[in-house]
Amino acid sequence: MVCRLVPETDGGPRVVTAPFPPPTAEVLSASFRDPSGFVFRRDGVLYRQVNRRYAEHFAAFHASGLYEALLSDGLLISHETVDVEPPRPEIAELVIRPALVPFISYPYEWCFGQLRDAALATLDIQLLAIQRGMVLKDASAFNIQFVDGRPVLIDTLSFERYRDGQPWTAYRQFCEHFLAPLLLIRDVDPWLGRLPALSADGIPLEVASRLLPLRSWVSPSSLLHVHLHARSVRKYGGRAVPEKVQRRGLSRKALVNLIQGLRHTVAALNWKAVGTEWANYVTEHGYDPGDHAEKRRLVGEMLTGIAPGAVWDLGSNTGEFSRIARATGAFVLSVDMDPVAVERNYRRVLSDAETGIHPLWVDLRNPTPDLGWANVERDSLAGRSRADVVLALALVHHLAITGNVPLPNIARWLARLAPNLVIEFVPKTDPQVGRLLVSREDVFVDYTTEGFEAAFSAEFQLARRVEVGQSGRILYQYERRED
Amino acid sequence: MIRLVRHLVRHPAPAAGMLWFGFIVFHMVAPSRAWAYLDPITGSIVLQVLAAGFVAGLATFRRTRAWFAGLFRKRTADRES
Repeated sequence: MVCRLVPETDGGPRVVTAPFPPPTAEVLSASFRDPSGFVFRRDGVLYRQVNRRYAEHFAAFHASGLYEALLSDGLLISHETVDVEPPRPEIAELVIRPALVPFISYPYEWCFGQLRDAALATLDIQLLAIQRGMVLKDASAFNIQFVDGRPVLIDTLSFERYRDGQPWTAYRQFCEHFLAPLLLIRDVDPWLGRLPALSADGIPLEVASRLLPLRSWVSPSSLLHVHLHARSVRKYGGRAVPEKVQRRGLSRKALVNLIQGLRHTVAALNWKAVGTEWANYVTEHGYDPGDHAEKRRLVGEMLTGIAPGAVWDLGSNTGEFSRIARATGAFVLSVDMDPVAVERNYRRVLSDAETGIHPLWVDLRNPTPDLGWANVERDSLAGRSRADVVLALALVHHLAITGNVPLPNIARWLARLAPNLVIEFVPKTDPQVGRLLVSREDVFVDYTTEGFEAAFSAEFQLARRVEVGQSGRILYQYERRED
Repeated sequence: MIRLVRHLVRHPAPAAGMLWFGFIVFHMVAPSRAWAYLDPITGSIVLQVLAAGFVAGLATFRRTRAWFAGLFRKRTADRES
């Protein structure tokens, strides 16, 4: 089951009006797979209808004490039952109002550590559920979201009563959504973490099995959960469960062993966050220490003056300036295209127990598009929510020179994201830009201070312009033109 | 391939066990022919049931290893104190 909650800011996921509900209720476009219920919005408030067919499981979920246990461990968002007219009363049991998460992110935007922690959270939830006579009926990575760096389950209707001998229905889904991408990132290449974006339901086991290196065949966990699993799925495709297997079933102890074994496997997965082009940018940015301190001061001053509720730090690297933005009290989406930088950013969030910063792995030259069923199930980065400020430091030269994106196009895209922009222009004389031009012809005749200002003036009004020390770099504070 | 051989040489006992287990289960679940439509559930259930013994053995092995490791850690700690 996949359903999503949206931030309280404007511009959450698009909604579609279902044919049956009253016109004031809008069913979220991603909430349709599970017949247990669905998420809808009415008068700007998000609710979830619990259907009658799921009522027994929902009652058991509460009666078992699992809800309180999960809340106490920070593994589930809270909800309250509300007296609200359900959109489809003919099948409704009740309506709940779930707590909101600050930002909806997707597994193919997470770094290795985020995906691993989300996997561990899913298994911990499953173990707690089994202890209380319940079981997770699905294990979709889309059901996990990050709140203050911690993974939480947002799908309250993911549980059903455990029946003796019942195998884990969501075992394949767990392996395809979590284990396969984690193994591929660790054993093949971090960029394979993007593969789930190509599929509706994780990485098919057969694909993962083909991509994993030969040595994975002698790893017990890869062998069992991926290679043999893939072959078993293929062999029994289109066939009913053999009677002998049905009779034998899976004892509760065996089920717990399976989950604990998976947990042990996932917890032991480590990935060395080294070796990419921009991983050491923080220490190799080419700034004189005095100029760098000046840049930090200026950015802090500009953001404090705006007093934003949400900042998107695009090209954040390991999040140095995201912390400055966070210090203003804003929620910060800290976006970078380098998986190592995002991993380091996330590890810092964890080690310093930081709140309000969400590291995200997105290639801004090819940002996350609308995906899923009918392209309305999972929203593009720009369509998901709105920022009050976009922070774009040392970013434009990557988009303009590495990505060959004309400056006016960059200005138009940034103007779509937020009403305020704090942006740095790095001239061609800067060593960082020199690196990008070292092996190619300089065809970027418009990439000048004048060209930059002309392009951005078309979309924004200049609020402030400051040269950063002797670096030659310029910081601009812009406000979007609303005319 | 070199990494695989090196891995096998370094860990001969578990590697041999793995290969033997893999050989047995591979023959139990190896597809006899390809299907155009793949049911994702049945094969997953069959594997869980078939591999239950192996998973239990692995869990016992990990617990035993942890117990021994704890024993040695305790002795080392005793000596140091």
